[in-house]
Amino acid sequence: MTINRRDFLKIAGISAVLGFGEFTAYELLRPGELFAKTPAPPKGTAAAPPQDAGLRALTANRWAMAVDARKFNSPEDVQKCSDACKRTHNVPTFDDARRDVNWLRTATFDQTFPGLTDDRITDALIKKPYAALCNHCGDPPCVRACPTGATFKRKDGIVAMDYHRCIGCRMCMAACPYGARSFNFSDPREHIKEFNREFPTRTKGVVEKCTFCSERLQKGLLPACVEASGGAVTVGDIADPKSEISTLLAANYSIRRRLELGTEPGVYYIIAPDTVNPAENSTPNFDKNSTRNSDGKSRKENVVAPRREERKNSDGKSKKGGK
Amino acid sequence: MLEKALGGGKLYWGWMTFLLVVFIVGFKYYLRQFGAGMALTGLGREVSYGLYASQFMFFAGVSASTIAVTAAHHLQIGKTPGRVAVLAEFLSAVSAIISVVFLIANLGQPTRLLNLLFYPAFNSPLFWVLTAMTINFALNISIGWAALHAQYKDVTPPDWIVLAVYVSIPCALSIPIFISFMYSTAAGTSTAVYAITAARYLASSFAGGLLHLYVFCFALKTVSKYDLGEGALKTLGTYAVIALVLNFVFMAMQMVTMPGTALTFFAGGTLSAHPMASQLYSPTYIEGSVVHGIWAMGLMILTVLYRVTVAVRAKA
Repeated sequence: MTINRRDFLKIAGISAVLGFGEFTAYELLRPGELFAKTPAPPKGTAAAPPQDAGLRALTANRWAMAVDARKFNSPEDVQKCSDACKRTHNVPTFDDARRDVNWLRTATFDQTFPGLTDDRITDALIKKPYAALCNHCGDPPCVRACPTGATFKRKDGIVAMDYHRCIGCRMCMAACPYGARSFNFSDPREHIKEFNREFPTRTKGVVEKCTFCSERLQKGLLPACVEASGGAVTVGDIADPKSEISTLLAANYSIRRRLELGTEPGVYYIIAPDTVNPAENSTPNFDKNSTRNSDGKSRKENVVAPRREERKNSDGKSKKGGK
Repeated sequence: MLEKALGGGKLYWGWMTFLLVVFIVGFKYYLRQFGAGMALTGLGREVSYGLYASQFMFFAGVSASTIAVTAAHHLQIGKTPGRVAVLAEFLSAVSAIISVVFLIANLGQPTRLLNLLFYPAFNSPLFWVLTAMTINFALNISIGWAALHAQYKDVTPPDWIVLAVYVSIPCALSIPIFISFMYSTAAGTSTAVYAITAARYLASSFAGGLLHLYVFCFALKTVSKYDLGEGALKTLGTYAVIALVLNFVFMAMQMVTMPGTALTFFAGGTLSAHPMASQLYSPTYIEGSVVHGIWAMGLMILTVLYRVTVAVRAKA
């Protein structure tokens, strides 16, 4: 291939402007030569066997969590769970609130359930601290916002993160209505109090959040916050009507965060025993294929009306729920 | 034609040196951010986007808006002088680069930027913004270069320019619309769920971008005595004012339908005050809102508009 000075300068100039560098320029001038020298990847390499394959992993069709708000009376009760979470996942602790990274944080009622009201939400409930964490939504807005697929929803309902693919654009933080995602504004490793050698640390510039302790579930262990809570937090398969969490939610009155957004959150907050609907009429009718709210009559938390000026919305909402 | 860039007077080289110093200082500070992390910017959990994100969106809008001038000239609508069209095409290309640079500066992991291409998520508006901007950039560079070369050689520009302009129109128009979709992904935080946002962003980026081009042309004319062509500034000003008026119309439309603003008239769907209403359009100051800034900006725009109109009338 002959090439004159003018063409060479053109190609070199365009390559430099587009930032392709020497590789592309080489390809344009001597096509095929560079790739020919690269060895082909070995064929037939078997995938590595999954870790801990021998242990009995905890599995579910749709993981969900029930937080019994009646058992969280002081901020220390929530802090216990938060500390356990931090120890398990190498979550850093910052003094500067702007850099704060938390997978499970202590929040007030208004921060957790903005605009929500109901006859059963008493002053005592409003004064309580709440454990605020990722809701592992049925239709997660963060997954829709992520431009690289670094956050994704697993088949069992857990919304997971790939910290190595995340480019740190923070679109997911803006999309999450629950503030469940934290960005590492600076290097987290210098601010980790106790290291857990069995879980990776993160680097600066990536987003992180609650993983539903998927790595512990795989080993047959319950999530760290469940263990630390002393029975106040329950996890289980909500798609199975006979599971512990399903019976618990059937027997008690629970609310979920910002249900009106249609994200189908997977974290339920039990606030009172069910006295209105007898238990036999209120078996959960979870449809794992549905990303929308199921019928308002059987999902008890759907009858909770919004507080203050949003009260007029409730008609429109129940229509939406009936779809 | 690049050899033209190597010749110039003291003012030219002085300006180039100044820009180089700004570039070096900026790059040095960026390296500090690269080392220490985004914490250096003062952004945090509550305010996770700042000037970088707004500059990214503004310059993407500027990059899109110049299509009004490019299309008008090459498709021979009205009388847009060719020299302004060439300036518009290069301004578009440069703005696209500035925009992407701000996007990169806004990333926590800028070295992973190409993950946007390796793992494209088609449901993410950011991917489509970048796609539209890349095509628009390539078209504008090609059109601008061909048109400039034709002017330099004093020949008629090649025919393919018309086709390129037609392809460029949907690309340019989709940039601000996709950016408004980026706002809408934050619907969970109730910031932008109104359909009029797309139209508003389109109109406002045309107003902002064309006024940007106006200032650029005006400076060029004043400093270098460059002949832009007859009535160039007036035409540009008219386009910008039309876009600005459209933006105000859309803003009014948003205010009359959004519950909780000073002008709420039609209540669309919900009767509860929209969180954005008090933030943006409340007649009185509410703690934590940006009302003062928004109204001050509105007054500034009106003042500039008035001054521009007077200036254009005086010239004409």
